Amino acid sequence: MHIQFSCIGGFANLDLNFQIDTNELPQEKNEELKNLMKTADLSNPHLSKIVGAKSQGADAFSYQLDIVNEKKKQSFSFTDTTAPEEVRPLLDYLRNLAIEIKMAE
Amino acid sequence: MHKKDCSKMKCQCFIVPNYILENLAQNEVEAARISIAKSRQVRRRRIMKEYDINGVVALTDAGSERKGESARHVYDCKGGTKLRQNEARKEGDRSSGDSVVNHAYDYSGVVRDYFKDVLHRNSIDNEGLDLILNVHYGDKFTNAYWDGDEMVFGDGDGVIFSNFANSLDVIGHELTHGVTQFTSGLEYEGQSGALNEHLSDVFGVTIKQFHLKQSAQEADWLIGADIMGPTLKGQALRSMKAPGTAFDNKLMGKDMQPDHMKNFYRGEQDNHGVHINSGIPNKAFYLVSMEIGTDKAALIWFNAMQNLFATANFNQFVQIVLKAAQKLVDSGEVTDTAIRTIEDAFKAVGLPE
Repeated sequence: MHIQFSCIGGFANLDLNFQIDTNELPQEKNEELKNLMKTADLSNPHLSKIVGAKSQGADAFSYQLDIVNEKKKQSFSFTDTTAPEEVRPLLDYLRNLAIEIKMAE
Repeated sequence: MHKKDCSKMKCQCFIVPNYILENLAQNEVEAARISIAKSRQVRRRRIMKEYDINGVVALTDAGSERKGESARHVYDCKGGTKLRQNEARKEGDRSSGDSVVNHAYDYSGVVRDYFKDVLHRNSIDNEGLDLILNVHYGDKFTNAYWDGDEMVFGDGDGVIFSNFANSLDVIGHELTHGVTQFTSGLEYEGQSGALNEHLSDVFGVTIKQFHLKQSAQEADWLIGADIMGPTLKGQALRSMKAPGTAFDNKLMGKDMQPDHMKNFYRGEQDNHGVHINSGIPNKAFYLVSMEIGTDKAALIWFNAMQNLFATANFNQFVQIVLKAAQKLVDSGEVTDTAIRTIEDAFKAVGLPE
């Protein structure tokens, strides 16, 4: 599975992004990511309706998540204010992974 | 009828979209009417959230005409992402054992009291709306935001960023987004969005100077210096004195803020540069403050803030600030030299175009 992720904006106006083949991740991280994706229920058609939803307030991060596997490609757009509760732990994980990758470059 | 998606989480049905109302709100009577309408909307939304969070209908009358007491409520998310889960300290409570909870409580009190005592504004909505602050949000969450109803603060990762609630200018910044929402409702996009960010930086830094009893000359004019972790110590997120010089590091790259219209950012990133182009009016505010004092500059900006409209651009902002300054000159609250000072400061950053 191929993942492309970006987290942009926020109070600090960060620009974090990475793309990765999940098989390249250490097994423990790969498992954790799979579990978080399962919890996020990304196959729920409700999530695709959030794309383009107007974010309330100010300083929220904007997230873009593209997932490609052998069967299909899925694209999601969220902000801190529009992301459903079940997706937020996944976004936390991916954002922290993005920081880790960027700092290791 | 304009109707947004009415999910359980965010039910908002408006006969006329907010931004149109805000553009119409260019006289004081209409502005006041709209502010009250917005206040009711937020109070209703808070009740809806309460329902969502606790699974019970909130029995408070937050949606009524009654004015609030701008009471503080600090909630501990305990690393989760649900808001208003565990109330850790409310108005009048003794100190908590958690220093982050105490900072959020104390600093939001400083900001609330500044708006009330110095600028005579009763909380975010001028109707005494309670202040809701959620701390310890998420897992190493490197952000703070205003969600349209309440404030959210992450702990940072402890390496690059420390806790976002431990900073007075960050709390002042976020709370001011609420005030902007209830006054001009500046759209969070392009130049109006950069003005929205600018006003939050202005009052974040002004309230910090007021609290520390610093003059414009003594202050560092930095935003976010207190939340930089050990790796980025000595840097900040923005410099109002010298936009574009606050940081240069591996994670964030180099500070992109311009200090003049000739370097205006025209890209799509960051809602077309809301945190980037705010550097231009930020520099103008700094220059004015150095001449007439931050307190007088903030008074002028606060009066201008209430006459802005949702889609105001930089040129319109300059005119509105000058008009606000002239009113204060006429009433004897600022000296007449302020007008020339403001014109010169905006000219120094290339405004008006």
